Amino acid sequence: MALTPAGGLRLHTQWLPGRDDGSTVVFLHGLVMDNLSSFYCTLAGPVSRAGHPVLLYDQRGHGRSDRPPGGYDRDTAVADLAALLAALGLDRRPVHLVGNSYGGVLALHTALVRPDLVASLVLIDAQLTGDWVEKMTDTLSVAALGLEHRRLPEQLAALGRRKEARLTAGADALLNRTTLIEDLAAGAAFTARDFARLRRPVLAVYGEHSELLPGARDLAAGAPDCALRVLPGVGHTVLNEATDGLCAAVLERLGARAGAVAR
Amino acid sequence: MATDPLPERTGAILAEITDMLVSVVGDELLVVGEVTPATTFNDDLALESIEFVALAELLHQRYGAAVDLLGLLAEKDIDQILAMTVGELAVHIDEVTVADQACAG
Repeated sequence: MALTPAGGLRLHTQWLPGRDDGSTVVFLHGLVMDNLSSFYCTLAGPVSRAGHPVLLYDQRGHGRSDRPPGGYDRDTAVADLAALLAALGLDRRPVHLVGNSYGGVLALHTALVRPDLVASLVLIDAQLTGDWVEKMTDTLSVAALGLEHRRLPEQLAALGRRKEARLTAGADALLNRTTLIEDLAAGAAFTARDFARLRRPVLAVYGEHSELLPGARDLAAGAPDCALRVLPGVGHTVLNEATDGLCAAVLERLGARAGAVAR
Repeated sequence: MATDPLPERTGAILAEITDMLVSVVGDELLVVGEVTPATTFNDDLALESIEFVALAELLHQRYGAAVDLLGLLAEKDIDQILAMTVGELAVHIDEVTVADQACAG
C-alpha cells in the first residue's frame, strides 16, 4: 500500500520502477497547496521511462500523508526523507533530488546537512537568497487569517463548489492547526557560504520572469558545480507551464540516453 | 454522455471503481449520491489530482499493468482525465484488460 511508515508518520508514497542499475530520483513538491500529483502528472513518467526508478511522496501535512501538529522545519523534513529512504531500502546509494519551489529549498538543505544521501540536485524555481522567508511567511499568514475568519471552506461548500471547498479545507488545517508558518519563519535564506560548501552537482531551472531568478544567479556564481538554465516566457510556474523544456533539461542532466524517453 | 446500459462486465468494473472511490475519498463521497456511468470525476465527485493518483494505484493493483495512469498521462493531461466519466473509465479498463488477456493468451 502507498502509505509508508517513516519517522513516526505514515507518508503517502508512489514508487515507479526503472532499470535495475538506474539511480533513484526522488521528487520533492512545494508548500501547502502542492502534493506529489504535480510531479506525478509531469516529470515522473518521462523520468521513469528513461530508466530511473522514481520515488514520489507527500511531505508531512500535505496530500495524503499524515498531518501532525508540528515538525514543519527543514531539519525535520530531512529526517522524514532519511527515514523514508531507509524504510524503503533506498539508503544504500545516494539519490538524485528534484525539488520544485519550496521542495527545492528542502533538496538544497538536504545536500548541506546530509550530503551522504544526495547524488545530485535539480532545483526548480526554488527560493534561495533575499527576503523570501519574510515574504512567504507574510503571504501564508494573510491566507491563514482569510481561511479562518471568512470561513472560506464552509462558504465554498455552501455555494456547491466542492472541489475548492475541499482544497481550502486542507490548506486551512495546515496553516491554522499546525506550526507550519512559525516553523517556516524560523528558517533563513541561504547564503554565499552555504553555496560555497555544496559538494554536489546542481542544475537550477528557473523562469525568465521569476522574481526568484537573482537567487539562482547567486547560487550559480557561488556553488562549485552549478548549471543554471533559464526558460523563456515563464515566471515561477516552470513545472506546469514549461514542462517540456524542464523535462528535457532534467533528462539531459540525469544522463538519459537519447530515444529512451519515447514510449 | 454514457447513459446507455453498460455490458455486464463493464457494470461490474463500475461497481469496483465506486468501492475504490469510497476507500480513497471516504464516506464524504456518498454525499454526492449514487455513482452512475455519467458521473464525472471533476464536476460531480470533485476529485483532486492526488486522489486520482491513489485511485489509479488501486486500479493498477486490481487489474494489472495494462491499467496505467502514467501511460494515459503521456497522451492526455490530468484535467482531461478528470473530465472523464466513471463510465468512460470503466469502458477503458474493460478494453485494455481484454486486449491484455488477448495478448497474454
